[in-house]
Amino acid sequence: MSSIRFENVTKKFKYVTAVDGISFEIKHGEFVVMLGPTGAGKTTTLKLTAGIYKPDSGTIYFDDEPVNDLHPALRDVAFVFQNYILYPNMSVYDNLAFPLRSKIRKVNKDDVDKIVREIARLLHIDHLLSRGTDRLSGGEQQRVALGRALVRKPRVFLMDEPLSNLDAKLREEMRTELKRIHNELNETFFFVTHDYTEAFSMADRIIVLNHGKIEQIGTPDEIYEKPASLFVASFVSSPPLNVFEVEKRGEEFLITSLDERIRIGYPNISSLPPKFTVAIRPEDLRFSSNKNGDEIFEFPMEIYVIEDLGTFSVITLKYKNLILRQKSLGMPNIMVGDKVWISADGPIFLFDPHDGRRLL
Amino acid sequence: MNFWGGIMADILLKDLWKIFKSRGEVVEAVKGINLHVMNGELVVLLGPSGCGKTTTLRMIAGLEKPTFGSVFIDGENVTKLTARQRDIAFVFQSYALYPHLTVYQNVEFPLKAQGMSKDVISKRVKEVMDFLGIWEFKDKYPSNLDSGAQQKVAIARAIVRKPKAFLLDEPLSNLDAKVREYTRAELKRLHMDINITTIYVTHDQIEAMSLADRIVVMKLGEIQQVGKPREVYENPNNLFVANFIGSPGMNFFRVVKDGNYLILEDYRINVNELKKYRRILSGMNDGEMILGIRPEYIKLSNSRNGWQVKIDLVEPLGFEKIVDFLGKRTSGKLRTLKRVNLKPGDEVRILFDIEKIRLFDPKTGWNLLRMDQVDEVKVS
Repeated sequence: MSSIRFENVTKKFKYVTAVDGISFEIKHGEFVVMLGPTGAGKTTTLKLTAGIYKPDSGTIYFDDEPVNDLHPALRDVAFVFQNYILYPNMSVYDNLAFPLRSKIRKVNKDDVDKIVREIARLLHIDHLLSRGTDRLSGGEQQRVALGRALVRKPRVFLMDEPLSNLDAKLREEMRTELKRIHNELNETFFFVTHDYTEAFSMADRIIVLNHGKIEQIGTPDEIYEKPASLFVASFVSSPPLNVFEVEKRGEEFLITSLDERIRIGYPNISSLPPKFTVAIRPEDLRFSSNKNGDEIFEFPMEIYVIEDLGTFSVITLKYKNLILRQKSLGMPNIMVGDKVWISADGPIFLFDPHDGRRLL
Repeated sequence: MNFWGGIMADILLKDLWKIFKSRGEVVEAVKGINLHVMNGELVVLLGPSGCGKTTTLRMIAGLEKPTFGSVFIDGENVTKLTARQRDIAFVFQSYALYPHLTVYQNVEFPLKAQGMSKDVISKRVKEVMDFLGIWEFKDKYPSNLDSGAQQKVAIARAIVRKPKAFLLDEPLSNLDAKVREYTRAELKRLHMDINITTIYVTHDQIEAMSLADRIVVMKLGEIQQVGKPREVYENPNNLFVANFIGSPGMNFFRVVKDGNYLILEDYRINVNELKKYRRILSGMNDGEMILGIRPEYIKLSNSRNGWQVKIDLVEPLGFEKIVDFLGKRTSGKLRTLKRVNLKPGDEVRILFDIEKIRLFDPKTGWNLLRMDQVDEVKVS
């Protein structure tokens, strides 16, 4: 296994800069997930790591050794794609053994057998070894594809949304499985996804990428508790984050779209710019049918939609053009049309309205 | 009463079958579905791919002919009527708007095709577009709207005729995650306001939980359970439903019933504490069964009571954590809020919320505690 380091790496295509001067490091044996929306530059970053693309500027290191000019075949990386391709007329065993039987590797027959069986056991497909790959379920096929990458013991594993073609139940199972496999093997995993739940559940650290630039690097807890930007905070929120614009008028703060006051309990108010963006996570919002004195707004909101989702509920609240969402475990005792008062129990994030960086 | 004027219909499916021949093989896609959708109700057909939900919807729409059985709308047998004659609207996953027409022109299209007068059309189109909050986009072209707004235009176009019923086939699944969440809430509000009889197909259990008055869970062409979302969530008919609903699904543990106790490794549960089910349990034989419990109904014990387990993995998901634990011979998942601190390797004792325990037959997979309840799958 190896460490990977990007130093000011840029990759341009004809009309776009896909990756724009990014720097990060993945340590030996670390499980790092790059998270971002479609078009953020995630796959380009993986392909740069694999050597499929060459950077226009900047340097990529494997174990402190520059690899910009190293041929992809010599980088010794394994790449798992979203659309895995198995050899249809071969058994699971032969699919797994295939990379080991290549002429460059010269692995002897007994060792091939040993490795194939060990990896099959790890992936819980040891009972399928003699089966044809056309007779496997989607999840089993994805395991074989993973297995084929694992048998080679490459320096790093690169995975490009390998779970996104699986249905919801299987995806859940496989993400736990992958994390367990990583714990057991302790190899370097570099995984790319647009699904924040997937990133949170597996990653040691997450790199959030947007428009080819890194928004934040941190552990899942850091990303969630201390988002560096409005983009990061909204990207990791379900239901959508509550966001609205606020401006200073004298000693007061007004919600721009409503011209109504908001009470924000931050001590150092004088340091705030004249306009900023407020964000409150849905689970940090509270409502009550009576005024308690800790309301953040001077107006009540109307219960607009109630969704009981089983484990938790999502309540949509409305006042004029302001829509907020509240999430909690269990089911509050309210009805659509009820008027409620809003308070916050948790951090209220403030962001710069221009560049989206967090102010507080 | 709003502009809708309360137009709706009830839909009855009687022993509906669809058998295909594909490459010489006989495929039973739908196997004897009986379902009564009431006036103004929103029913969700939920299941994994291949469960027959879309085929069922297509038979209701008249796009597919049943092999056996009948479809009734407002008591009238419409099995032999064409899709057009049934006066039902549908919206699909891909909304297929006319790209060369403005949003307004897209919405008025079905009315123009019916030859309505201009005044009636413009009034109706404005009503529907206001209702869906898309009037501001009237002069735009579909390609200039985000995917959620495009789907709303498709919905406006479908309901502008005031059809008797509304069928939707995975209408949110092409939208990205954020847009999907708020469009889902808006759909729910829309249904509350116009109360049109709606049948909605999805594989997403969250969507079903959110939107449905009743959920119909399907698997391999057959109905597994029909019920209110909360009922399906708390009292699943069988292991399939228990696992399919919920994320993650219900935990299953093999236990032995020995007199008054359920035994799970070093954890002994007194069945008398399952008060609601005491009568069923007292009539039950001893032996092996499957205990089901949802991850949020497992708590950490702060005494020496409970089941001794080891924490295996912790998945921090922001709002909550999913914690995988290992017993001596089995494993499971529990759910905690983000502030609870657990790490792999920790040895803890856990307790089940006794009232939330469900028991299943290890052979058939059916919920043993539901035996006394009337099956809601009614055949009229």
